Amino acid sequence: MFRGLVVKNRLVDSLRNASLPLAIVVMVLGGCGGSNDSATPATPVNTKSTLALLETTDLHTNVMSYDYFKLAEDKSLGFERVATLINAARAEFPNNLLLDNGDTIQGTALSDYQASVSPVPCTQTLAMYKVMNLMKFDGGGIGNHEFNYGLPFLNQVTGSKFDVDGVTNGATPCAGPSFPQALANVYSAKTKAPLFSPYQIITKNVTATAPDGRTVSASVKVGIIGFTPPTIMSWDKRWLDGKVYTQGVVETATKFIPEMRSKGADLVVVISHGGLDNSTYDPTMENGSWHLSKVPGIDAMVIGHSHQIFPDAASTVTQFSLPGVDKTKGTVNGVPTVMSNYWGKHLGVIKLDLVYDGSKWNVDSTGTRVEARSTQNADKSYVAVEPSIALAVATEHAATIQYVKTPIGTTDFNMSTYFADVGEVSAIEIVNQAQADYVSTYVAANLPQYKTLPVLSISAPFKSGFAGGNDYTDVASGNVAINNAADLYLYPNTVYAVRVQGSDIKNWLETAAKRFNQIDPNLTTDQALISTFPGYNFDMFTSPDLKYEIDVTQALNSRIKNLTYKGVAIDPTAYFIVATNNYRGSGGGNFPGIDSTKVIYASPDANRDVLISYIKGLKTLTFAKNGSDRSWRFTKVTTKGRVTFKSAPNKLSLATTAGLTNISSINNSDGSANNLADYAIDLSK
Amino acid sequence: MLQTLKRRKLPFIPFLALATLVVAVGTWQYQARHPDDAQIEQWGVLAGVQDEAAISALRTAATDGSKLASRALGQVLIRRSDEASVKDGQRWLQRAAEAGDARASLLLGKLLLKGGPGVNADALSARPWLEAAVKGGQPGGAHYLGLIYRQDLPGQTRAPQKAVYWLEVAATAGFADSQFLLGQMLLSGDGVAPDIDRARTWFEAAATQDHPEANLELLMAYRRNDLGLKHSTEAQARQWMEAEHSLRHRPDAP
Repeated sequence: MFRGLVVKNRLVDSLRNASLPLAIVVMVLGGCGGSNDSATPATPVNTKSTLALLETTDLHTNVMSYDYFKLAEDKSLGFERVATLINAARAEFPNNLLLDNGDTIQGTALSDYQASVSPVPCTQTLAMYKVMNLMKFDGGGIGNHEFNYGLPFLNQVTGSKFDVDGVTNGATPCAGPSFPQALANVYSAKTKAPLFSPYQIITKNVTATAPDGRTVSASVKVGIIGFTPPTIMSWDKRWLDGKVYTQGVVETATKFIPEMRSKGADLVVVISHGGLDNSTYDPTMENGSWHLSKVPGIDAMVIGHSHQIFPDAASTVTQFSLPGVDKTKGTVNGVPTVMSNYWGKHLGVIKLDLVYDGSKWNVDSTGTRVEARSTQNADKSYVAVEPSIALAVATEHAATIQYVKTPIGTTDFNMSTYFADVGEVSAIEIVNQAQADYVSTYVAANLPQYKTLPVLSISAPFKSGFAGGNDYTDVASGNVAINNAADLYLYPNTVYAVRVQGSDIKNWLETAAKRFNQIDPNLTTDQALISTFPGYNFDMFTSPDLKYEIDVTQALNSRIKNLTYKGVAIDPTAYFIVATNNYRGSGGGNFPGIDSTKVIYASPDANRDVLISYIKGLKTLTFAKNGSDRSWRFTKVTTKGRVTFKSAPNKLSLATTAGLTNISSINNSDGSANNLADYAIDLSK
Repeated sequence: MLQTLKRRKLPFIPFLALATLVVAVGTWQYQARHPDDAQIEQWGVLAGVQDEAAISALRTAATDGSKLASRALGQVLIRRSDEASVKDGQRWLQRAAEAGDARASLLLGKLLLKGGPGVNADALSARPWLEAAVKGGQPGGAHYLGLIYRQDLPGQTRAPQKAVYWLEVAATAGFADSQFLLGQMLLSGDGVAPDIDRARTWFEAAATQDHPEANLELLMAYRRNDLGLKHSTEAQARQWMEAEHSLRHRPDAP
């Protein structure tokens, strides 16, 4: 009956224990400590100073102004440009505190390279933190994406010593940020102590003006406290489940802020990785910053996560029109607040005027100014780069480019979607094979109740000419590199597996067959085969086990003929597993019966990444094994007129090579400016 | 004056200490027997990381009749992989639901709809619990009612109009999954007259909440100049980022 109390007391004890190392940090950072030392003893009453809080957020490892998938410069993003804004702000406000809000170490090929491809060793600092060290950040928070590569990686690259199941620590922490990090609302399940220091108290030496006009030196103690969305528990369940737990941001702030004050913090700055949401408070809510702002004792908030700009008088974003939110001044329930967009596009600036009252510094709110500064100038050009950034990460940047260009395999055939609408599968079968392989492996290992079910896979030609002749997948024979994978799998999707019956498969294919207009065999004029139904919804199987015909002379929902599995008519009540993507598995395209009720596995892995690792495993792709298994064909019918469709010009040989001998070229340009040509298909063959 | 006070106070000190002790012990006993909601929620959090003491505390409180503890315990147990725990969890949820806890009704309805170790997926058994959840103030239940009516099931013919009705209840309450599905039904005119503008509005509402599929829908629409969205390089670049990024940001299911 007292068990609960034991739990509660143990939690309190472990928090006490956790605060020991914190106290050491505070002492180191804060000199001798003690609230009366927050300014040098000589600081007279009414001494004034100005302190600027500078914020970066959601940098997502965009160190360089560079797009690794396009292998091209992108001036609209990158830390190397926001660093220029930091330098300018520091020149303007010599007393400043540079803070990062989080979502810092994940998001580009560079971060994947350093986390997974060629993991950064313990002795080396992650490229992102390296340049932040170079720019002398004063403090940082932890976003949700920091957890994306798992706890051991986060522990390593932040130079932490997590006491968490599954994390091993060396004698000394690994190389990491040289600035303090704070996160107050994530706890170790093992110790019930906060995973990071919940807050830090930073002593900032500032110049100030005494009442007699003299310039004096003083010090201001700024307490920073960090929060991350409690929803990390579902987003990174595979890494976090059972290992850590979260606490509500409001409860946590209410607990720690008075403690920070009692330890001498003149100012309390909240680093909250979350947007604004005024719906009823819940300890697990994702965007807690609106509710946080109401906790007493907060002088300013630097927020993030939503990839938005605040303040911005012109903003139409819902969260910035909530009650209590002043999107012109940059306040939330009166608390100065900034959100500086994402990918290094903006720098947040909160200017605070401070007055010394004889024992501590207070904010004179009449002098507060909040703004988010863009790296883009009024004339649409961008500020210059800070050259030291590129120099500092030259090796990592070059290695990432090399990685993106490195062949992951070779193919003996051209993989394209020029004729996917009429049955050519050279760019689709490999995707289906990769998805089926991935799901089969998962089911065998984790879903024993389904291990006897056949695993099929379905995919669609995502690039099917809507935007013109260049809007087709086209990977030449020869080497296949990482960046080709984005051509083979265009969209950001994750692999889902659904369990369906034979009848569902029939309905699924009937819906996909909306891709075609109904063809009247007796019409002597040309008839266009392809309807306005999007190519990305033209799902198809490419399995030797599953065969079907599409009869385009029939009305919608009665076009699928001779649907067989392993040579016999498919049993409408038999169960199958179909590998697909999150869009379809969530009801995208409104395919009848296909929605979350059918999902047996919602994987965290991107279809594109699954494809990359499958190609890496195969090494050699051949037309015979990976590009020619057609599950479907059109039902044969003789038409009096031509049945036509469009594709890029001069590609007929691809169709012929793939065995589609019933295609002919009508012209080399359809007369539009879209680089498209007309083709005909003879449905009688 | 000060002296007087001090003199008066002194004899009371042992008494006050004793009284404080009595009150404190009494309070502890009372709190252990009658934990407040915050305490039960904290046990729920710790039980979620399989803290045996917290699970045991929840079990005691649930046995003593706390609806909240009963639900929290059930919620933890149904996440386990063994049949015995899941069935035990189902019983605790049912107990809380029968006592009027709408959140427990929702959890029980979801469990019955999806099934789990030892629990057969049974949409028709789930339905009354989901209806009770909605009536009790948990509009998330409406999402699952919408899903049920979208299906052909033994004992139920697909009823897209009803699906649209319930999805709209959940979508209006703000659930991104419901907003996305309702948008899909509006787009294809399933159970409702086709309405591209309303569909887009719901997709946008879901996308604002980082719903990955709604963001993808908007991205694909930008590429196709569809849903009344015009192809603009900037809007499309932004939408690529949102679609990619939101994959790791999925809003919680209702």
